[in-house]
Amino acid sequence: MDNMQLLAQIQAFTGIGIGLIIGLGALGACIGIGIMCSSFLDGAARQPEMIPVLQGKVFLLLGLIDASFIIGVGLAMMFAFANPLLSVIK
Amino acid sequence: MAICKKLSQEGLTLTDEINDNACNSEIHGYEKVNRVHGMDETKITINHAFQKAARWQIIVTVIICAAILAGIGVHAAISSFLGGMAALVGGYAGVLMTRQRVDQSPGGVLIALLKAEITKIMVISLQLLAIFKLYDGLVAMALIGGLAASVLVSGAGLGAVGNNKK
Repeated sequence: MDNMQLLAQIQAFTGIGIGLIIGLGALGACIGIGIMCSSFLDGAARQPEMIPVLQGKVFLLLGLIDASFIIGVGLAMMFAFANPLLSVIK
Repeated sequence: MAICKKLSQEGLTLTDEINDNACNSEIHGYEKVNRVHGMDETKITINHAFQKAARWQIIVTVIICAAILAGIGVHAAISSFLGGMAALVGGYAGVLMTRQRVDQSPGGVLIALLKAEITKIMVISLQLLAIFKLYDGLVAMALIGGLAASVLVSGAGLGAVGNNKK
């Protein structure tokens, strides 16, 4: 297998990996946000006076839920722009 | 008018924005007072939490940056610093979105928070894209390390919710 084929194969599998990183990360974050938002609406319907308190906590928890997704986006960008796997081809 | 007097006896104040309508329609005005006070309380809570999270993010980023500077090199230290700052600036952009006056119904609150989250993710992604494209001496692992540490530490703001101490 010459270098061009190897390069193409690495880039193809890297593209699939990038898609999986972002896609699965987004899926997990969306499920988490959906669960939290439904709980927020449930709590707000039961105790409307708690909405301001809950809103602050929801905002911060949104950031925590998205932390893994943001890290995944960073990793995906690393593989997209500075792929360390390409260093095996010389 | 009775509700306005009751509010003033309880130490609550009406803002200028709702002062006109509050006394014209007591129930409607009372609801508005609740909404405005709720919004202010929320903004204060979010700002206080963000300040605490930002403080910890800066501390952790600087510590990691110094450790990398001593162990690896200047470019790696700059990369980790840029990663940490990307998360910090993204969080601040999200907080700016929550400062807009929004409907205080639960649906309105959720829409505002999701808008803030979208803004945060977009800002962080664009910053990372710009860093990867424009910085030639980038050390990718250091950037990811700084970003991950800064994003994970942002949960420190949770400790500030419901806590009046600074």
